[in-house]
Formats: sequence, structure tokens, C-alpha cells
Amino acid sequence: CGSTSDRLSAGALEQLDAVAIYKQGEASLESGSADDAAFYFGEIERLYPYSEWAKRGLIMQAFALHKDGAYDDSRASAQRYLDFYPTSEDAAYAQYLLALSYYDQIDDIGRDQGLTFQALQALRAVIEQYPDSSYAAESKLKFDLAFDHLAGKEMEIGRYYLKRGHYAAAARRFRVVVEQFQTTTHTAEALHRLVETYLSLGLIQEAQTAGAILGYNYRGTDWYEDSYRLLTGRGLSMEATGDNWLASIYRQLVRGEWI
Amino acid sequence: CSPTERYHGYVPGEAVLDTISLGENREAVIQKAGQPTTLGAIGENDLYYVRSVFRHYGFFAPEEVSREVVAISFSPAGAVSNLERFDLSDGRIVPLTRRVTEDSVENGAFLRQLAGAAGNFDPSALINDE
Amino acid sequence: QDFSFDEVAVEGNRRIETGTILTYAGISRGETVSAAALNDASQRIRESGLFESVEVRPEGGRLVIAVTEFPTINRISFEGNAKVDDSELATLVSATERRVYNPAEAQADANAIARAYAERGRISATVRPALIERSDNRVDLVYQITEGGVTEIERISFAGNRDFSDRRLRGVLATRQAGLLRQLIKSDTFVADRIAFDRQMLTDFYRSRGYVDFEILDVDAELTRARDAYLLTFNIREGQRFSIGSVKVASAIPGLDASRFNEAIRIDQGDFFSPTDLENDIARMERIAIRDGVDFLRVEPKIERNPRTLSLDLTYVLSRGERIFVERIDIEGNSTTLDRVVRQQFRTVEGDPFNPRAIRESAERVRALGYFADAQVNARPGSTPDSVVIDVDVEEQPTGSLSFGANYSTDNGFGLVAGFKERNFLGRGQLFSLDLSTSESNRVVSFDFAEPAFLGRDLRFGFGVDYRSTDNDSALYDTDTFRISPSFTFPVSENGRLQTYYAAEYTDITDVDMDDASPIIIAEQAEAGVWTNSLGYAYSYDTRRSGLDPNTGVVLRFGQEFGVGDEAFVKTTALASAETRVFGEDVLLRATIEGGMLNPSDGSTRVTDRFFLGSRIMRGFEPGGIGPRDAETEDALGGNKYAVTRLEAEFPLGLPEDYGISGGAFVDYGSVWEVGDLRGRDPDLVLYDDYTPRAVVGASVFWDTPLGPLRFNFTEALQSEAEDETRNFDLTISSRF
Repeated sequence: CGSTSDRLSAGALEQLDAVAIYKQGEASLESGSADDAAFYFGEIERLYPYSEWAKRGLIMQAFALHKDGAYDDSRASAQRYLDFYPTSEDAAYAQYLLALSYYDQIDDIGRDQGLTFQALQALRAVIEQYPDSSYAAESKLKFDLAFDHLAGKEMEIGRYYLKRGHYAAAARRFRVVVEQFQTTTHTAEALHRLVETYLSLGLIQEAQTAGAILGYNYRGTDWYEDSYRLLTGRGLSMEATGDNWLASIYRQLVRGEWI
Repeated sequence: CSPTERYHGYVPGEAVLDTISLGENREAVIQKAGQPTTLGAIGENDLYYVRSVFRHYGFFAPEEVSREVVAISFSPAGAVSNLERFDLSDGRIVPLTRRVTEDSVENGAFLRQLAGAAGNFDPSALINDE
Repeated sequence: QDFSFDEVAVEGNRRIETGTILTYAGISRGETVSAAALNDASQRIRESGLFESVEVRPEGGRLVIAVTEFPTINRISFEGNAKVDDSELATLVSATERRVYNPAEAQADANAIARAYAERGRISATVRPALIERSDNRVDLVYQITEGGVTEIERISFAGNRDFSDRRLRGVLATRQAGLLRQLIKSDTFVADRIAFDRQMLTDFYRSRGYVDFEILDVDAELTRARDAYLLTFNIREGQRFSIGSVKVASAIPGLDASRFNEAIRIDQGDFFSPTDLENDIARMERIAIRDGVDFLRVEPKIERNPRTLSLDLTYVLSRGERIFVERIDIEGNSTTLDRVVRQQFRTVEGDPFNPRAIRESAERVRALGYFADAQVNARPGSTPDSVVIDVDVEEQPTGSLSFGANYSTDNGFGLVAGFKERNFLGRGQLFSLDLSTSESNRVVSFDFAEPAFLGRDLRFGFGVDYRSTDNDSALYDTDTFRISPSFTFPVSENGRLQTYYAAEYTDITDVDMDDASPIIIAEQAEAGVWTNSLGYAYSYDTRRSGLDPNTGVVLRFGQEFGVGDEAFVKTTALASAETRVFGEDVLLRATIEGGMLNPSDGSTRVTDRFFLGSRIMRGFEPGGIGPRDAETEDALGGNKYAVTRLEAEFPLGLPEDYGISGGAFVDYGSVWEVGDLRGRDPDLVLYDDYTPRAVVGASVFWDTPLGPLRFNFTEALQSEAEDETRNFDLTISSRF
């Protein structure tokens, strides 16, 4: 039940010249049927491979496919553009589209981190190969967000082990965030979790070291206050934090949180 | 039904620990004792070997019943300065903070799952053989 | 000598831009360039794979790069293929439309197609790529295929076999001779890798019967003149047959006494030696190591052979393997499922010693979740020589269904159904299912929710609400039942799980046909709506998946529900079933005994409480078709007790696997009986109130359809009572219980 019914047949397109097909593609884009647009732009390349329109059609096809959510196909078209026209002015945009095809698939924190990693590499390619293009700035922003997302994944696994009492395993993950993801928003929490973890293991001196770093770099944060309270003995009692068993069942069962 | 026990982490045997002498460098210790279960808070630092035994019993939450911690600390020059032991009693009961740093990416899981499910046909719905 | 050019010109390029070719060449104006550099430049251009020919010519101050581009492919098509359709061939071909035509690639594709045909037994098939010129340097690529005939095996014979006859060995081999159903059964076509498979089957057959030195000298195949069949001869040397002498466990690890591992040994003196038994012993020992926390254990079987007594002395040597640690467990590909749902299946924690068997078992548990089409778990080297990273690559599959429409059930006729069911709700591993269904004879609203890891523990919390009102025309009364039941299920042993639950149930019997219905039901209806509260438990023990012997499995279930308060009762149900696969795992035999008993404290039960045998428990009868019945009004009354025995067999019908059709036969024997309180009704008018067994024999056809595994049952009642309502055909989903 797709809208392919009003799409011109391949035969009909044979008669039109490259410009006409390109216009057809642009019209479909305006009217919101991105998949039709992608089909038309692809046909230009097949029928008139040597025309200037074929080149422009290829990058427009990548854009249309991306708009349509067909990320893998969009990625393939963008890659083909980079193979054929690495030096053209739209190459930066093609590389950017390639990166977006990974970035826009990144989902909630609990999900696939493999995708995040590929997005980071593709974004870095845009920043390094086309530093002065208009997309470099946008890529830098998205790179930081993706990097932050990756740190979130490490924290999530760290908290998983912390909640289950595997303190040594938890400490390993939080240390990764502190060492390799300093620029992200998760570092403060990572340091506080290290305080919690080392205290649970009875390694008071390491807990104090982590608390000191937290105090030095993130004094104004809630994390610092929590750590301060833990380290100075006036720890929070279980009830004080409203953590009776019914509340925890609701939180974990219905809301899906589980710290 | 009897409780079952699960072992986590690793602590080098007595024989190995006896061979570690003060002043030895960090690489030699790791070579003898194996990879540490975790490290100190920052940079090149102390090695911690942790061995825990958890008891699993029916529907009760798994409970850590014994823990052995061997801490090997190093002087700034990187030579063994101390070897201490801790156990479960040294650990403190810490109330974990429930706050979590929010992530910037929104969660489209339910809608996507609903869309994924639409059109799938669950045969048992078709033939409910009571 | 060196050159320096003040101008670089590119000729002959049509689609590829000059700038592109220059970047490949990597030569700019004014740069002094040696002859070797020129060759490198032309090599780089050629490696781009875009050009048919590349020529780099220095002309005085100018450098000329002359190229001819490969044509681009306009259309790809296949000719002459009858046995394999275009879409399947397209997957083998790497050339794609709109991309550049590359002759080497086209030839490689042709060979791939030829190999595909060879695998189907058509060795004489030939494939040739051909081009049709089109305008603008474009070509159509056509793969011309001549399929040729199928090469089959005419006769198989053996040389050198003393202990087993040719016929017995042929039975072992997969390639049976070209028999009657030649066209249908594909397995006797001559295919090279099938022969390799047969060699392995023959070797395993002998090795697992104590022929430690068995060897296949060679396999020669003569082609018949007409090139359509082969005569196969296996030359083998059996060697001596060895049995087990002594079996010992020796520990080379200081401080580890070996006696603890003796319980794992099943091989005993006098058995014939078999590698699989050895493998099972080692697996059991490794499992004991996990249980007792022994790290880095390596079990090596040492075998000493003494030819005089034809026996092997077996010693399992326990030694300390390499000291390797798990650095990280990285889970990827989980686009919907939360990381913790997968990580929960791992008993190994990051930083733990690396134990391959524990990781393999965790991989099994991840696959058993049923959320993934594929789950690959493997260890790759970590950042240090003595650490590994466990990579878990999963591939999600839809785990939900959203259905609207109609359903048909032989028990209840046509009905409307709306339902949303998701087995991995929000990726949290929770079950969420809501079903509304109405049919001529019953209306059902049921809601089910389950959280398998309640509060992060191995504790499954379930919650079910179920409203069911029936007015089936085969009975002259309607019933309404409403049941709400939270439950907790947790493991009590390796294969055993215990469920505890509370249930509140409301039952009512309504609009009874006063003059036609049985007086018993009229009396029961007088009690009107009744609320019962009950607590219950159900213990289940299932070894089908985790048991050591993959072919046999046992399922035991025993449950009791205790009514509390004024409606006190004890309802006991039990089931015992064993299944095993025989004849080379083709045939499944299953025997099941199932029973139930309802003891009301005040002696009286109602038709809504009593057991009715649906087609899931005993086949061959209409719902309520057997059991106590009112002689005059023919109302089925149900019974407080039931006991049924089911003997079943499932076997292939010899049709090729991709039809997905197999057959089965079964015998059901048993009954439901004892109404209990007859409420003053004359006992002679209550038929079959005592245990009167019925027997049914039946055949079934299993058909794996996209709709699901359907099961068609054809039944014949051997032993039934006059008033029973039998049924000869039944359609169900043959879901494994």
C-alpha cells in the first residue's frame, strides 16, 4: 500500500531527459514522498551516467533515502558519491550524510553501542577531511553528543554491576569513564560512583582520592554533596532516601529503572 | 532445595604472594600475580585483587557471604610499598544514589516496537484451543 | 630520468572527473617526478577499478593521462536457468546495476553460479557472462546458463568391512542409493561435500563403537558412460575393537584432590570406547569446577592402550590451564533489548577468571531468551596477553504481535479477536499481553504480565487477569468466570522451578434452561455467584533442554491449589512425561500420564469447578463430550477426578524437508469421572459417574506453515460410551507443552 502507484514507470522515464527527471525528483521531495524522489534520482544515474545531473542526482538520492529513513541505502549512495567524486564540492555533504546515517540510528542508552562507535568514526572523518566545510561544526557538536552517549553506556554497565554488589567490576567501568571520557557530562557521576564502590569494598583511602578529584573539578554538583556526605560519615540512611521496598518495586517494575 | 554458591574475581594463592617482596616493580608483580580485579582511582597505581563468594538461595537476593581483598600499593617510583588484606567486614553498607545523569538521546523504543509488532501474526491468537 | 611538467592533461574520461583522476595519480604541476613515480601513478589509477585501460605519456612539458573507462552496468539478467530462479541467482552475483562493469568480477560471479549448480548435483552446468552494448558507454550484463543433467549415485559398495555388512553401512551413510522416489528425495545426488560428510559419518559410526584405529583408505567413484550416475566404493580398514580398562582421575594441581571429580565419570570398565562419552565426562568435570569455584582447570584424557587385552586405560589429568581473565563483556546489535537483559544471562562478571564452558552456557541462555534471530558469543584477545574481551553480537527479531480479525476454533466456532502481545516489552524482557476475543460460544478478556528478573533476581513475577463467559450450545446453561492471580516463580534446582500463587475467582452459572437442564445444574445455579480465594504452588522439573543427553527429556509437574475461607477445597494436578528420539533422531516417542483430583471440604462442587477434558488433554471428543452426564437432559456435568495416558510418536513422511510436513500417531486412554454431590438426583440417571475409561487412536499431520506449526488430528474412538459425543477431526497449534 505504498505510494508507488503514481510513480512514473521506468519505461516512461527513458523518454525524459536528465533535467526533467531531476525536476521530477525534486517535486517528489517537496510533496513529501522521499522514496519516490530517491527512485527518480537513482534513475538519472542509470540513464544518463555522464551528465552533471547524474552527479547531483546521486547526492540528492542519498539525501532523499536519509529523509525516508532508509539509512543503509543512504549510506551506500553517499559512499558511491565519495568513490566517484571525492574532490567535488558536495563531497563534504556526502561524508556528513554518511555519518548521519549512523548517528540518527543511535537509540536509547540501553541499546546498541556498536552503532555509536561507527557514528563517531564517520563524524571524525568529516571533521578531519573537511575541516573548513559548513558541516564540520555540526559534526563536532554531534561527535560530542555521540561521545557522551558512549560514556552513558559505560556508566549504565557500571551501575548494573554496582547494584548487584560486584564492586570490583563496577569500579573498572567507572574508571574507564573517568580516564577516557573526561570531557563528557558523566565524569562527575563516575567519580561519585567510584566513592560508593571503593567504600563498599572497604578501600577508604581510594574513596577519599576519588572524592578529592570530584571536589577539585566538580565542587558545585549534587554528586559532590553525596560523596561529601558519604566520606564524612554522615551517610544517608536507607529510609531517608525514600527507598522503601514498595517504591523500589514500582520504580523497577513499571519505570524500568533499577538502581 | 540447597543454596548454591557462585565465585567471582580472583586472589593469587599464598605461595605467589609470598614471593612478592618490597621494592619489586609493578610489571613484575602483575606477571606473577595475574591481572588485578580492579585498580585505584587514578593513573598508574595500586593493584586490588578481589575474590567474592555469593550465595544464591531460592528467591532471595544473592548475598555476598565472603570476600577476600589483597591490596598491593606502590610508591610513586613504582616499587611495592605495602601489601594489605581486607575482608567482607571492612566493607561499608553504602546507600546508592538513585539519581542518574540523563542521556541526550530520546527513547523511541515503544513506538518502534509497536510498529514492529503490527502485522505480525500470532498463530495462537488464531486458534485458541481451550 | 626525471621529468617536471608545467601542465597535466587528462584524455578519454567521460563520467569520472579530471579532478578525481588527478587525486588518484597524485602528480601536480611543477613537481619533479621520476619514471618510477609515473608508473606508481598509473598503477594507482588502475587500482581504482574504474578504468579499462590507463596510459601515462610524458609529451615534452605536458603530461598526458589517457584513460578508457569501464562501461557502467545498465541491467543484469539470467538466461537458461530453470531449476534455480532469478532471485536466488541474484544473491550469488556481486555485480550490481549502476556500478562499473568489471570483467574479473563478472567471471567470478559466473563461477559462483556454476558452484551453486554443482552443489545441487548438476556438475555439468556451464555459465558464461555476455555483454549487450547500450548507448552512452553502458552495457547490459547477461549470464547465459546451460544447466545439464543431474549426476546421481547408482550403487554404493564397501571393501574391507568385516564386522558390519554392506547393507548396515549403507544405512549409516546419508546418500542412499537412487531409489524409487528418485525425483523427490534429493539426498542421493552425487555431490563432493556430501561424500566428505559421509566419510565423517562412517568414521564417527566406527569410532563410537570402540574401533579406535578405524581409517578410510580412499573413496573411488566411477562415472557411468552416460555421465548421469556414479558407482561409489569406500575402501576402509576397521582395525581392532577396544573396550575400556581402568578409569582414573589424577590431579596435577597442588591442593586439589581429584576424588571430588569422580562423580562426573559415567564411562566404566567393559564399555566400548567412544569419543562422545569421553566428551560428556569432561563436560561434567568442567561443570563441577564451576560449581566449586576451581579456576583455570584443564582436563586432559590420557589413553594407554594394551593390545594384549584389547583394552584402553583412561586417566583424566587435571592441570592448571593458562591464567586468563575476562576484561570486558561487550554486547552489540541489541537495538531493542536492554543491555542488562542480556548481561543478566552471564554468570561471569568482568574481571573474573575466563572459563570457556561458563561462557558457552551463558551463550545458550542468551539464545534461549528467544528475542534474537542469532546470538554469537566469542572471545577475542583483550588489551593484555592474559585477558580476553567477550563479544556478544545479537540480531534482534520481532517478538510481538498485534492482531485484529477473526479466529476459528473447532471447539468454539468463529470469533472476533483483538490482541497485543509482546514477549520483550520495551526491551526489558517483560511479557505483556492483552487479548479480547468473542466467538459464538465464549467471550474472553485476558491480560498477562510477567517480569522474569523481579528486583534484579532470578525471580519471575507474573500477574494474570482472566474473564471468560461461555454459552456453548452443547450445554443448556451459561457460565461466567473471573480470575485474578499474581504469582512468583523461582528456580529450586538445576532443572526444577517452583511457582507459588494466590488466586481470587468468581464463578456464576446463569440463565439455565429451567425445563430442559439437568436438576443438578439447576441446584448448583441456586448458589449463584461464588467468590473463592485460594493459594497454590506448582513444581515443574524439565530436563529437555539442559539435560546431558540431548535426545531424551523428562517433564514432571505437580501442583496443588488450596481454597481458603468458606469455599475450602484442594485441587491437585500432576503430569509426568518422557520423550526420546530414536532411529537416528528421526522419530520422536513420547509417553505422558496426566491426572487431577478436586476434593471440596464440604463435599459439593459445581460444574464451573469440575474438570472437563478439552482437546489439549484428550483428543477425539467434543468439549464436554465425555464424563458424567445427566441421562435425561444429556447435560455434561464434568468430574472431580480425571486421569489420561497419551502415547505419541512423530516421524518424517520421507518428503523433502522444505515441505515442512511430518506425520504422527497417538493413543489416548483415560476418563473424567465423579460428580460428587448429586444434589438429590437419582444416581441411576447420572451416567458414567464412575471411572469408565475411553480409548482413542489417531493419526496426525504436522505442517510448519508461516501461520505456525499446525497439527491436523484424525481420531477414531476405540472404546467409548453410547452417550459420548465423539469427533473425528481436530485442528490445533501443535505447541510443545
